Amino acid sequence: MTNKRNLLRETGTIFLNGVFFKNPVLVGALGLYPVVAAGYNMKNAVELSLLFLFLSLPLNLLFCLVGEMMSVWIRPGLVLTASAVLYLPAAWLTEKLMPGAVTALGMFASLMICNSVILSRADEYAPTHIGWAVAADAVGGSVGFSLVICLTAAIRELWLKGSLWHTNMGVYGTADAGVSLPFFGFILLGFFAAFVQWANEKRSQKAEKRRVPRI
Amino acid sequence: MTTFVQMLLTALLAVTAENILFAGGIGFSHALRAGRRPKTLGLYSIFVTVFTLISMVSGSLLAPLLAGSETLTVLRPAILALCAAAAYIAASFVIKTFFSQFYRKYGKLLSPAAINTVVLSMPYVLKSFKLSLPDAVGFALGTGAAFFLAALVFSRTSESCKNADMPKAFSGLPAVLLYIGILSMAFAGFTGGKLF
Repeated sequence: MTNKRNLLRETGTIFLNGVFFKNPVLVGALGLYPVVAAGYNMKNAVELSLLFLFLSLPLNLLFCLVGEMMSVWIRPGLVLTASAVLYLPAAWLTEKLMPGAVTALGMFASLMICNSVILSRADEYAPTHIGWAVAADAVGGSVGFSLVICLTAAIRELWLKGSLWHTNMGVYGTADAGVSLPFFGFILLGFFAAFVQWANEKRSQKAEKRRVPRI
Repeated sequence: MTTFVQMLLTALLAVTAENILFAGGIGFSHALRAGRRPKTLGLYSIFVTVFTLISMVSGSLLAPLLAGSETLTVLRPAILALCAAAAYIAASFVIKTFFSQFYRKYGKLLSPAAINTVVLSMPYVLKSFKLSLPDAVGFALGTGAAFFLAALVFSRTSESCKNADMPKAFSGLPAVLLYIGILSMAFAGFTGGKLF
């Protein structure tokens, strides 16, 4: 019973780390390309989030099972190979849920195959951890990635067009087209990363206070 | 001679107005990591250049084949990624087998240099910009140089972005991201809009 509770707690911690405290994009500086280059409207952001989840979860679980059986030097190549193969069902599933998504995304969708968040987790984390931890990490990382790309896209779309998912929000879009260029994505990410760093700092200060001094 | 000049001009374009790193936002995760190890930065960039060139040439050779069938067009992203994986495995195998000392020292650089968005984006760049083979080679070499310059800039950034005078929340990565944003803004001025 205690073991089960511990497992659940640890799984929750891994999930939350992926979502916020150790967000792969804002803390790890991984997977920046889709966020800054394609995350300029909500439709793109949701489509890429789905593709990320459908690619990341099976790939990580696969390498949790077989990752340790292969030599370290060949593993990155095999992770990319598996990612390329798993991209096909992931793209098909995304296309089923949101018709025309993958075609419209074009290069942005195709380059998800070598997204550094997905590949680094499958190559370095998945082979040395148990299934629960790997699943929690993959889902947490996917939610974390989705939050960042959706928030970035929402701000950019609202600012540029005054709309969200092509629905008018009753505000007047005042920004120049530059908002949809990668540089603006980097600037937004800088502020989000600062927020996460501030939250982590507060959290560690609280933990420090809670610690009882030994006499 | 004309072909060589054309190649050089395309390489220059890849470093400046069509810089896929700063103007396209591609490959920053790896450029940042390369910048953290200044001692191996040059070799890392050479590896990136070689794999970029392989990716560009294989993309160029496969383009007519992939365009010929509808099924292959659907499979295109997977096929191109498989080519990149094969290039990495072959290169690692050759270096590991014949230059084992070199591999022991620098083998860790191979996988991040071979498997990244800069390398995999080359066939898409080829298609978007409609490059001929000499232009494609020039662009790949220029992109390698652009990667080196970006990583060189970032090798100096980490110290200045940990300045004690700036707010603690912005120290480190947030400041680096803002710095990249400002640099990218300058490149956007050259490009004049979206690269892709």
